[in-house]
Amino acid sequence: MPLQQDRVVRFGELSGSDIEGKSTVEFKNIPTDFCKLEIHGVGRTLIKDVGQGAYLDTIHIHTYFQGIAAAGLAGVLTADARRYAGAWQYVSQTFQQQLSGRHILGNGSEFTPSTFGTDYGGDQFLFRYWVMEPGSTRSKTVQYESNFQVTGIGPGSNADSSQSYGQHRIDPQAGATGASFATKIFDNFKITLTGNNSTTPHVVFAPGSRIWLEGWGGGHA
Amino acid sequence: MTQPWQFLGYQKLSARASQVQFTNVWDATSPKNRNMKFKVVMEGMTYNETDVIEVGAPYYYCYTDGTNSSYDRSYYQQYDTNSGSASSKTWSTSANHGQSQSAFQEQYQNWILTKGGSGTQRRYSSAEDNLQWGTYEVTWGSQPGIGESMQMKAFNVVSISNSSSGYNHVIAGCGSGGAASPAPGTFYWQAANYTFETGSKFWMWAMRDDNGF
Repeated sequence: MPLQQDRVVRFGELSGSDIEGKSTVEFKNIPTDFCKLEIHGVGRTLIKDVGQGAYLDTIHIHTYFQGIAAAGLAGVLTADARRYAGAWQYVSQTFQQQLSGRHILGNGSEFTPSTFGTDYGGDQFLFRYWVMEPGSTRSKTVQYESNFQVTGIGPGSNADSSQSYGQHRIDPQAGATGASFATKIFDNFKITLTGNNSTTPHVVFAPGSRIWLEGWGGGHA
Repeated sequence: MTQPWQFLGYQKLSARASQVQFTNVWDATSPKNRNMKFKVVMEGMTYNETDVIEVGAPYYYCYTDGTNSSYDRSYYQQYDTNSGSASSKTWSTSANHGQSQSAFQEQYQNWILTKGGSGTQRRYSSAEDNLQWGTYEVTWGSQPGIGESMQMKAFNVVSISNSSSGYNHVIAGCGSGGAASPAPGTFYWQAANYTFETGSKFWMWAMRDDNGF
């Protein structure tokens, strides 16, 4: 597949009403003629109070491959190293297969009793996903890094932060599902925010959040 | 004012190699180039069952001037669950990673792409598309007359055992307070006790980091 751009191109930004108040965002028909596709996000999360009475909730990011939920998908493996709660060390998060395809963004504390957008600041995140040669037919790995910071606003007021580095991978040798999905071109990316005890949609992107794509070019087939 | 990232080059190995270079990426003696940043991505692999050995395991390193000049500091952390003890290493400036360090490299004896215990070994295959891919991202900054800095992040494949993730992780950084790379700048990937397998891929981008040219 010919490569069209030698420079980095930024495109497909979701902001404003495209993302505010939503738990799930999806990019479809992403151009794949790049060496590297990056998906960047920056913004805030809000936990919608659904009466569970908690002061904080653990916010996960579920990753989809080709629009299909990776959690529980045979052949999906997730490796995650996370530093959190003020610790100095990164700790490997060992997930069972049914939990693969997601990682913990952080422990959020900013609840919104009725509406969101009336407060400011808390539970800020940034993340980046990236995949090499998204247009190829070899097996794909999706690398990610995320940073989550609680600023103490909201009923939880839990001073917590979390940083993760990891990788989602579809193992082409892990049964028919893995073989089927591992070699698809990577032209669709979807993520969903959830809490531990979630009623969907339970955790949403707050005002000011934005997610965009970057295509890193490179001159090879 | 920075300039946009631009693609510099790509290499795919058609045969095993112990060293991969990107040459003439930067001329420190030419004032028009000034401060630069580079981003380098490597996707490496293993397909050999014996690659899971831990003792005397391979490692790799990278440097920019061909002489393994010392860096002033290098910090790293590696997380390793393959040994069964789930050992975690903190940020460190041990003797091997202090001022005497001769290159920017991962911890000795641990090439985390290939390491794994018998219970969590990597899956392997003779087909390239089935190979295990570990990816590394290096950011290299260079300022004429001031020095260099590097950061490396490793994103690695998981083991075939879903219940016992064989994940390894390292983020590292180092800097040099000494002279910058001689011109023309070359970036070296070096494998020790090992080779980069056929099919390994390397990319490089560059960005001018100031507007003084």
